[in-house]
Amino acid sequence: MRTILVDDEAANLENLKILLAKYCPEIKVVACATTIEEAFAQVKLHHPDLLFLDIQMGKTTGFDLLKQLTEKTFEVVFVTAYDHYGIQAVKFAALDYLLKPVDPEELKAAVEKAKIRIKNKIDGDQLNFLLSQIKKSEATIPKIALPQQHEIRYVSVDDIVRCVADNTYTFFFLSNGDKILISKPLKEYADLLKPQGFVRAHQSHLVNPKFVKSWLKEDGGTLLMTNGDKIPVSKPNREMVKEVLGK
Amino acid sequence: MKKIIYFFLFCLPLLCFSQEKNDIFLSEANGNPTYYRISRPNSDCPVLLRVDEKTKWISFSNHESGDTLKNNVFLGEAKTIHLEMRIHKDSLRYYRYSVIKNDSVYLVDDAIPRKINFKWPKGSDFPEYFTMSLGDYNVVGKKIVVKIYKLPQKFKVNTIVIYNQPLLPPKVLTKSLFLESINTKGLSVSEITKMMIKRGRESFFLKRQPLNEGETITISDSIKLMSIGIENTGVNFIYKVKITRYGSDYPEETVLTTSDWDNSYISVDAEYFKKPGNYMVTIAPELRSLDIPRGASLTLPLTSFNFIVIDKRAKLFTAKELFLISIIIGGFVGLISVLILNNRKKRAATQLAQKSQEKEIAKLQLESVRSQLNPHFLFNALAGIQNLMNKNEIDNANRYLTKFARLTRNVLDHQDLISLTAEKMLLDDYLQMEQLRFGFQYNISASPDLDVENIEIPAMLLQPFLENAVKYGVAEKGSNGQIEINFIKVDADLILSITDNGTGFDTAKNYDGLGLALSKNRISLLNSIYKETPFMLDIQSGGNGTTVKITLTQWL
Repeated sequence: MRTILVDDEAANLENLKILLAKYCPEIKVVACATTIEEAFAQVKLHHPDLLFLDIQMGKTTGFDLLKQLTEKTFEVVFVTAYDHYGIQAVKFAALDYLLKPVDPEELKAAVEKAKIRIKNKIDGDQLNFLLSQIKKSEATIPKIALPQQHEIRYVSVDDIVRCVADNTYTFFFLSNGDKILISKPLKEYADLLKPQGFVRAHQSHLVNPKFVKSWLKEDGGTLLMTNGDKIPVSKPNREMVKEVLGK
Repeated sequence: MKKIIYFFLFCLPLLCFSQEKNDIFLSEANGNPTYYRISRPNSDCPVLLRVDEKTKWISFSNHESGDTLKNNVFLGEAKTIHLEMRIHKDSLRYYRYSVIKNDSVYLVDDAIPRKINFKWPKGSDFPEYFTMSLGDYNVVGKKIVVKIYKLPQKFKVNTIVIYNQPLLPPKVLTKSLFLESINTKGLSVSEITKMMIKRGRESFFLKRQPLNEGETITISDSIKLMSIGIENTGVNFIYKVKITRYGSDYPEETVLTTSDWDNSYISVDAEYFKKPGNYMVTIAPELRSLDIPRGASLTLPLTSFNFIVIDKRAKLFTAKELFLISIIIGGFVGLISVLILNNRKKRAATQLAQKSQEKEIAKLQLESVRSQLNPHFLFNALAGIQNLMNKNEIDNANRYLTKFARLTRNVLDHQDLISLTAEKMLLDDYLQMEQLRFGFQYNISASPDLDVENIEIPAMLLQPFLENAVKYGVAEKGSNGQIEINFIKVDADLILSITDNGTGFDTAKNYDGLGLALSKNRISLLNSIYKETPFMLDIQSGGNGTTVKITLTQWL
């Protein structure tokens, strides 16, 4: 896989290069860039399959590079040291990222995933989705990318009624009646959707308060949803759920 | 005055000889470059200025109080300027002019204008007049002063200052209120101001009280004035102070004149801000006779600050206010009846609010306790990685470094809750790092009936106990050390336990440095949040080891 590495620190580039050479021999690093401009030129020149892209690069971000590139015919693995906002956006778009310092195991896994995506040619247009999400103001209702095996669905957070955990999988129940299975644990979506107002009513249930009809006293506490579903509320969460719904 | 304007207007069409096509400051009438008269109208030395095409804007007539023969010209990013004057041929020899750059270098020193640009012919508007060039000057980033007089009036010197430097936003250095003290009783503001100027700013006649941004002032008769001090830019006279009051009805504006600046200070009489309301003080340059090419714009830099004035004195109500008050009272009566009806509901809500507030406090305390737990282990771990690097065990160094990063991130991330899977991974990371140093054995297990992926527990709950188990339990036992961690489900309870085979300690004694006090504190804080599902801590310690058991009752 022809790969370009982008990071504003040369040491990080070198490091990643060494790790890739050691753990991912199928990766061929065709160029490295420490600035957005350089990266832009290199991408235009080499047409890589894969990009390792640092999010925070001085005053610019890796997202700025993506904004400039109209044709995104490559996969991206974001690399970041500590950037809550950036990672959040990447997660919403269901894209892949690595944390610095890079764990060789995670690096191998990320390359494996990228390989499959390149092979299957999943063109989810996720990068454009990511950019559109970043552009939006905080007031607008965000969308979330739900990657399934052969397609990626972009769902408005407002259309999610609830999520149910099934071991390391998560079922999404949408307002139009659709039920989608995603191969990521509920915890991950709870972290993304709690800031959007969602409530973890139970270890296995994440609920959108907009679709809660009433609070039933049966079984120590149950939520009745507008579509008739009943969701148990576990004891440790009871007060918190009441508080959120009381508002 | 009129005469001069006519003079100015009439000569424009006749100046075709010096036309520059790329000049952007063109006369509207004929498309020729504009000549600005920059000597004062009362001067007998008419000096004209032409700017180049680089110039963004020009303000050609700004007067200071004090000198009636002085004019200030401000230019925006000009490169070169051209100066000239029109003189009757018979009086050519009486004029003397100097051009001084940046107050230090004489470019021209008391010279007679000699270079003739144009002779006005007999039938023209100005027969017998010569247009004399005073020269072209590079003005990039400069201040140019032109001094000119006509003999024999050697002391009637006209001064023209041309500034071609960026206008800076005025920098407010001080803002204070001056309050009356005993010494000033019975004196008017102007008398006090005079006295202040005479005796220095920190005058003992008035009490100085700094004014902070956004401060609320209770107005009283003892407040005499507000003093604003700005950095001396050399051109302070162009900065105007505007005081805007946003009262209940419409904004009121007061613009103070430039002559009010005394050195770099301005005094604002309390009369200007004695009415209650929100005040905004803006200090911005005000340029006179500004000329900007069509389509261009100029934004002047400004500085502002706010304060609020309230009136303590009781006021009689106006009819409008009485009406409003009656509405409010009426509303209140209605509200109270609603309140009585919903009394029970309300009370419950208040309790809930109080509870959530208590919870909020507990959460904050929890946050601070957690950051205290931020382990000294971090540095030992770094030393361990350093050791691996020095031994050239690069793969291991990489592995431990990423583990270390994961642990650090978890401490920094301040997550409230963490899944059992993630907790297990962190404990594993931690133990692997410590194992590197001490060589003990360990095992982490969870009962199969636990949904480890989805059950969450408070983050960093076990970590401090585990640190104790390593440090005081197994550290000295080397490879004989053993730590056992279990997540067990008993009915609806979740039990987390850590067992080590160290030498144990007396649980009744208060061990400093064991971090136990902190952890106990933390558990009691957690209990104030999760009231219905209390956390129970049980520590059993003996010669054969120590078991720490945390029971999360009714958690599942």
